[in-house]
Amino acid sequence: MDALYTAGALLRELNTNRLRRLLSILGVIIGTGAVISTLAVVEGGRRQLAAHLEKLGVNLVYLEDTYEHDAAAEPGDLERPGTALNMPVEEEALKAAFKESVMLGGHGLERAVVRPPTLAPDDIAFLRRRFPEAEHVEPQMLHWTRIGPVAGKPIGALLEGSTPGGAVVRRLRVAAGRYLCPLDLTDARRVCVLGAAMAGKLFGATDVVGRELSALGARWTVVGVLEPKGSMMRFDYDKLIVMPLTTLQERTGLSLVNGVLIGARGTGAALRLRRDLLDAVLPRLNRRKPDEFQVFCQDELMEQYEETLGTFKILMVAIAAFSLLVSGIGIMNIMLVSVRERTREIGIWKAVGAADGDVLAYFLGESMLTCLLGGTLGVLLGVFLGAQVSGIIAGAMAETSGWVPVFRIEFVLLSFGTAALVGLLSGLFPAVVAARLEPLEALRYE
Amino acid sequence: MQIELSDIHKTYRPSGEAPVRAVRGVDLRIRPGERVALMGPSGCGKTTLLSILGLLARPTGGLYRLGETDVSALSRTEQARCRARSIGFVFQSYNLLPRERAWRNVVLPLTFRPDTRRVRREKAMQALDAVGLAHRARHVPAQMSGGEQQRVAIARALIVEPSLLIADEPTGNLDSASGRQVMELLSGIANSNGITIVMATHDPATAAYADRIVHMRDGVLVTDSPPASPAASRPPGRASEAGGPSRQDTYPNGPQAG
Repeated sequence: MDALYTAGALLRELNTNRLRRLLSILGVIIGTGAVISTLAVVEGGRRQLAAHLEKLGVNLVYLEDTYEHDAAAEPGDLERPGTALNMPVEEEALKAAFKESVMLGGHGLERAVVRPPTLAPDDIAFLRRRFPEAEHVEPQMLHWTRIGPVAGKPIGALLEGSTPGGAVVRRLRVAAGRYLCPLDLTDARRVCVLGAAMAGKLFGATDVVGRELSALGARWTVVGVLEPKGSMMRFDYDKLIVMPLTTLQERTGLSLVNGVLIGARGTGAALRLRRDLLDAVLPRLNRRKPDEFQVFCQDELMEQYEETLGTFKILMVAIAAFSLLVSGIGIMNIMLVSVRERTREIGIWKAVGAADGDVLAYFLGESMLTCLLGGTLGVLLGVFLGAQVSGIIAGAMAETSGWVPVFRIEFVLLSFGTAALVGLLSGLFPAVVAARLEPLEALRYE
Repeated sequence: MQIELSDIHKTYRPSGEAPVRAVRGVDLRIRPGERVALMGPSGCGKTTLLSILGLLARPTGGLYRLGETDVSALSRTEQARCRARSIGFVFQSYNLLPRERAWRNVVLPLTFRPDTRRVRREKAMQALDAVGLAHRARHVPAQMSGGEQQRVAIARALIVEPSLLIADEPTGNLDSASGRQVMELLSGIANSNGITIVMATHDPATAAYADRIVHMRDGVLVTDSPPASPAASRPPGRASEAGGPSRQDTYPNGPQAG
């Protein structure tokens, strides 16, 4: 049958029985709306996370020893976990550090971060040798303590012993002054770099560089302030106080560190590195279980996000599939009614020369067009829903940046494709019924 | 096109009821351009026979040759193509598509053929013009009188330039004036194009437009003869063309010769 003529007849047909038709495609509207909005919200979140991670530093792998010490245990019970490392156990210093961290912690999150350091300089050297492809292998020591501005009230703060490379690998930028330099470490200078929020808390907004604070029984000169950066891997960078690793080790009497920041070359490399790290480090440290270490990797964070939202996506897609199925049955029903009502018309077509295939194509076209109409309305609904849901999420997260749904053309095409498929499948049986009608009987149908 | 039916049977088998033997062995040969009226009481098998001739129904037995082709052996699709190409229909109840405008009703048969849209539309307008309804092209059937609707149906039947026109009680729903107008038109156009017409009718005035009247009863042909009294209003016939030898010798020459 001629396409243009058929299109005209189809449009006229769609225009009749509008209410009936609209009701039959309600499921298609809801189904496609659910798919579109879900995909758009998830995609929006993924983009936001990607942007966030980009800001924090690319291809960073963070190895942290998470051996579970019994926090309730007396400091005297503390033992260095079983180790093959040939190194002195700085027992007294360790006890002191642990005691202090338990005392000062109590803010849940921060407390969890500060476990006693367990990685030795040998381990760092081993990692450097083992992973020559890594751009950076930077040790990181963490230490909870009381600090205070000179002649101010002491507050609890997280000290980080770091290296110049620690800024590069994490993309830390200084807003004022400078970051640590190699000489700070070789000379074990008493200098520090403050996170943006910490600087404000200690000294107010202005002229922080050059001021002094007291910590660990010594005075430290502020040489730089970091740009605001936000949280990542359970750190709030804005509340950090970064000190030369050597100076911090000297003041605490510890030579161990808590973690290692490793910069990989390229995105895929980070994931590879992460896998190899566990394989390489576990035997060396004589640990039995992989969960005694945590290896964070941004690609992995992204994977975790996708995994979490994957469940959500599957749920929504299941709802959508179900409503499409129900709708398909409804459309099939409406199409059967339509075929019956138009039996005589079908007889006329056949009498003037329509073959079975022409009739089949016409009714398939009608059901597909009906479903595509539903798909179009569903896409509009999805755009509306996506914006609403994103707004609610952004509100719940108190994100000023906003969670914006991202509507990709693939989502729209997927929705239309699905709608067309539903139309095809639900129209098939009625169309076959119509095509198989005997011309004479169809003409005589009252 | 020569039409040849031999020993045509058609038995309906409604579920749960006794089989209905609507046509029980019909032999009929119709020459190209001949106009045949089928007459007989209701239920005698006229409409069934017309449906078989128009390829709307398949005989349960017998042979149907249309021209050189054994059309009873064609597939459903081939039969549909054959209807689209060679057969026009005019029904008692017009059978126009109720929601389509006149010109779209007329153009419908052409949409199953590979003409261009412009050609189709031109042909539709010509056909409407030929039945005197060019001014009604954009009206829907409900806006037209019965006679006008039947003339639209005639335009639709003739647009494919068929070799066979099947008319089932073409004047059955019309008053006598409209009926006469429709029959004048039908026979006039068919005449000038050499179209074979087979029509079923109860109305002797309508049957009078035929060259030959075939009576049916209980599914068989009973008599076959020229019209008893040719209508005075009949257009000048093609009596000379119809003078060839016929299987039915009761019809030696055109009725005009009488």
